Amino acid sequence: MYTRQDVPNISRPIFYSAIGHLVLIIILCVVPSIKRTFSDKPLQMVWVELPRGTSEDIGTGMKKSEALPKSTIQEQKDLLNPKAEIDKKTMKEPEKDKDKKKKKKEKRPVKKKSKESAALAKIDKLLKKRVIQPEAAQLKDGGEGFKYGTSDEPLRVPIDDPEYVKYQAMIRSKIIQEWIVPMKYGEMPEGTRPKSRVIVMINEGGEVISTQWERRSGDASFDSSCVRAIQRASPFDEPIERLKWEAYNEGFLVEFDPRLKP
Amino acid sequence: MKKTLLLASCLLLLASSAWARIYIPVDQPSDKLFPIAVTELVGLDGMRGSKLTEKVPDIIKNDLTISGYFQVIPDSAFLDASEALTSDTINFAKWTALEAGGLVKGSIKRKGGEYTVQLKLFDPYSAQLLVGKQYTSNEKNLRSVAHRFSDDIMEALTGKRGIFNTKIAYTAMSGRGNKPIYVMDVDGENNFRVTPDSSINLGPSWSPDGSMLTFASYKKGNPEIFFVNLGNGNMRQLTNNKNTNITPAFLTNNLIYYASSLGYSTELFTKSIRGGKERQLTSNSGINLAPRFSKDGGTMVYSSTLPGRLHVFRTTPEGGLGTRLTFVGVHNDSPDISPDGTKITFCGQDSGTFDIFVMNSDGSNIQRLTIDSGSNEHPRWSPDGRYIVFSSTRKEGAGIYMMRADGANQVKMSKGGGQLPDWGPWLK
Repeated sequence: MYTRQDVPNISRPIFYSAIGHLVLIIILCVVPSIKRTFSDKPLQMVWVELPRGTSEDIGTGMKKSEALPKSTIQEQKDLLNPKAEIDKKTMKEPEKDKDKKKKKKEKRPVKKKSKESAALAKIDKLLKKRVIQPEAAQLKDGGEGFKYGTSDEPLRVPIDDPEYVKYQAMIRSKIIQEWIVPMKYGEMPEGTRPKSRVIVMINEGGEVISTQWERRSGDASFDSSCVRAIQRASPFDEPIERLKWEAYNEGFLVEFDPRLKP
Repeated sequence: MKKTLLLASCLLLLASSAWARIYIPVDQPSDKLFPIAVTELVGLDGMRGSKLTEKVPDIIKNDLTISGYFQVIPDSAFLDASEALTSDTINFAKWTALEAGGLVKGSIKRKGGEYTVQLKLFDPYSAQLLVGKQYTSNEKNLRSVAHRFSDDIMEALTGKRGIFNTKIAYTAMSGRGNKPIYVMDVDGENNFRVTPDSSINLGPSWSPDGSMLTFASYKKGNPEIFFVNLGNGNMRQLTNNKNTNITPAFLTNNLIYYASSLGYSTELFTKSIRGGKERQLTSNSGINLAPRFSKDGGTMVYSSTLPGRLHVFRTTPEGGLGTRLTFVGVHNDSPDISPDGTKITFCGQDSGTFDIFVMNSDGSNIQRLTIDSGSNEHPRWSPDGRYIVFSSTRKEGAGIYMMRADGANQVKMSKGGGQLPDWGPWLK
């Protein structure tokens, strides 16, 4: 039988541990190179509604057509995601990424500011090029609509930084475009759908250098399709300046969670 | 004090770790078609070199192509010509090098007049057998065997049974002033003439069990409603009122709804195929026509000129005052409810020709599916709700077309022309 004297007193070690952690955090905050890992601003949560589908258009919603819509769903999709022609001999798309990579490497030494806005420029360019607006008639709630999905809910991403959202949307779109998976996974009932999480590390050229499972789905076909999508999406776009530390040191946490696609 | 310090340090650590990795949610797969390879069958017991070793895979390839979900890898790209048929012996690396997400292999052998066909679907990346089936059939039914396996592939890879063993009914010209009703397979083969007479027959519509068709026919001079038993070809007349009776549709296997100008206006009526008197469902002095029903039989959609021009309305099969669903466009006609009841497709005219549109079942979110391709009319859902069949007068060839429910992959089904199609149910 234990007596009170037999139980070790742990309150003192906990106190020392807490003091130690606090000191460590203060040091981390003071060292300038690590300071950027913490946000200067207070965390401000806002809902940013990403349209469903592979569009990179963020939060602009759907144009309300006064007559029957003039453009088809396919025209709206094709404009933002032009399909690359497949080489029938090799059954592969032309390797544009290699040239892109070279160009990127050449561009690197140029001004720092242009690097920071590189991610934004790509999306802005696509939006300017657009001649066909996503449109539908008789929309609910004064013009809000969800372009391609069948769900009634948009994908909501809580974040305090629109630039972060844009960069996240670019990487998401790139992986989605490469994720070819049997459609059955999207049509399984909620709760039975496989989900997986992969930690992805990139080098300064954006190339994927490692993938590590944080959570496997348990379905070999599904899991291998996730890794293939990440590898085919390589190289990732250059992150904005404030995300570089995270991108190169901590990497990306990519969560695959399929939903019904029309 | 100690507790506060402890809590503060924990919260700070949590806050910093929350920002550590860039989170990328990937919630849906690519629009890209799923690459699949279908190889020639291995001919066993004297079947080596037989044309049937190519015929069955060719039918499967065509089915998968028109499905709009698969990219069939051409034979010329294959790196492996071996006759291996098991997951232990197939060199899957040669298929993953082609990025084939699925691989179909099989064999055929003959015993007397019967053929035994073995078909297998593999996942080359996990080297697993996904589906393995063996069928015994005569030569005539080999086409149906191929369609069945295409349905199995669809079920294994998309989670929903395919529609390749279903039928399409439609009307087509055949000589001067003669429009018979035809029934064909989804790939346009096995075209079968249902009405032997030389009159104009319009708008065939399937019974829920797929055993009957109802249609309007000018056989007796004015359009009357008929129905035919596809099992024995027995045809019977439902209406005989010397007025205009058009756009019939079955609610149940016994009850047909149709539009009739029996009174002063064109209203919706219903009548049992067993006889009895017709019952009037609408009474609004407009033209009401083209009734269609949800799969559960609880909702009826139709088009009506009540607002001045044709627009889509919704009510129950009991009739009465309908709810107007469309408010835009010049004319909106031929509505049809998806099997899950969430969507309605219809043909709409805004300037010139008709095109196909889709909207939610409450009338919201109208989206266009066809454009600049002749007049596209009479859309009808497939039994799985993934496709829409319609007639088109596009320059690539007028006839019966199908497309995915988002307007992708519009392909011609009928070998010749055709109008007013209806997609039959899955047969038990």
